[in-house]
Amino acid sequence: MIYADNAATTKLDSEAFEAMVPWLLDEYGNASQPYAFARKPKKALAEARAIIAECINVLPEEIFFTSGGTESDNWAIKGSAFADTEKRATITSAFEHHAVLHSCEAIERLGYPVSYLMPTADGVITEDALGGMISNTTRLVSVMFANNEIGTIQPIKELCKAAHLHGALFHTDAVQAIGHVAVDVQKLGVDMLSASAHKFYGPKGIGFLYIRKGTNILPYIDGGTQERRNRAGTENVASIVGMATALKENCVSMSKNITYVQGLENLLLDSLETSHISFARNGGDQKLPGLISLSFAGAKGEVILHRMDLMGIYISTGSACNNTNIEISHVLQAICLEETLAKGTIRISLGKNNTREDVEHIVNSLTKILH
Amino acid sequence: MKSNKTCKYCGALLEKDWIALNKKLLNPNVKEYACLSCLADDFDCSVEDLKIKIEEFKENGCTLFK
Repeated sequence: MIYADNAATTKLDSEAFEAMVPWLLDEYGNASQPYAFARKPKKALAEARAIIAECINVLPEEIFFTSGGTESDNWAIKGSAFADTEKRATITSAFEHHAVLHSCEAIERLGYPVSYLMPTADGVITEDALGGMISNTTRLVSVMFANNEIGTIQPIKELCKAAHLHGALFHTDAVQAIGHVAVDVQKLGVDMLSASAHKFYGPKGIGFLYIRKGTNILPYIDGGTQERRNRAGTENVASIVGMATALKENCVSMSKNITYVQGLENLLLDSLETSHISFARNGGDQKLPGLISLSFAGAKGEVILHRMDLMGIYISTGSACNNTNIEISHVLQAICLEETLAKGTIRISLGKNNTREDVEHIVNSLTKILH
Repeated sequence: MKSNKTCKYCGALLEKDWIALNKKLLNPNVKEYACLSCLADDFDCSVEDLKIKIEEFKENGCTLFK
């Protein structure tokens, strides 16, 4: 089996798994209870929060645990929109993850205006595009750190600066980036940032939202007093500890991982060229290491995906058969990729657990399918 | 359900789902088809893998398998 869909999810790090076990078995106490059996889980939560805060250079009290990236995005978009009755407008990009786009559609239905920035053909949201759209009525600008289909890393620092010049908040969905490339919130200046553990070799069903101290945002889930009354629900101690362990591990080994994965990426692209396979690479110059969006003119992404599946190789596609038609993803539509290329687009996302042999198998399989 | 078409490699009589699978995994415009056994040989997989694929495509509502 060759798993090359690391942008969809990643294998749990063994260190993270080991760190989770005690909190699932012996130390199962509810961290919010006022007795001695809750002290260890409570301490574990505090330590995990501090570890995560250090990894992205923020204060521990600015980290709020959630069920993952989708909840974090929902909270950031809806919680900030509903917190201000005067400044109601939101700006986002047309190729965000659906967690952001569908949250924006939800607030639009409630009368909050939303505008959508279009990326360049390389997948970049420019300051100029934002400058032409933003006004003093803009409440929030939300632009993803790196695109999940084509890997383009956005100029977040510059976009954030432009948002702040107009008194708007800035949120970034950093789900694909955290743990893979350096993310320093103080340097970026963002007010909110979403992350999901299973994208950086942590467990599924856990994530966090960074909220800068003093940001006006409403709580998203009502109930108990957890997360300082901002996000109710009994804390998932095991997963939170697993998330912190995975993030720390991948931040410590980030340079090594980037170099390794970039080497695999280069090998794949060079091997495809050597095999005389004609392809176009999507996503511009600044991309996540290992996230490779390839378009093969005249081919069908879905056919490639299923054929590779039968060979035990797992990748993703930028188009899918919707019963009768081939539906091109909103990301490829947003970058105005030519239809014949868009229909033949696949995403190979390599990670630290892939090997050179994996890449050779992938290239051999593609060669067989496409020739 | 059998069709009146035969496998381009071995001459076996083809089922309609097999023809649909040829279209799905090769090209919707393909004119010559292979039986499951020959298709499995071609794809380096098992016949069982292909049968599972057929069921998954049906579950997902792919109109080729109607």
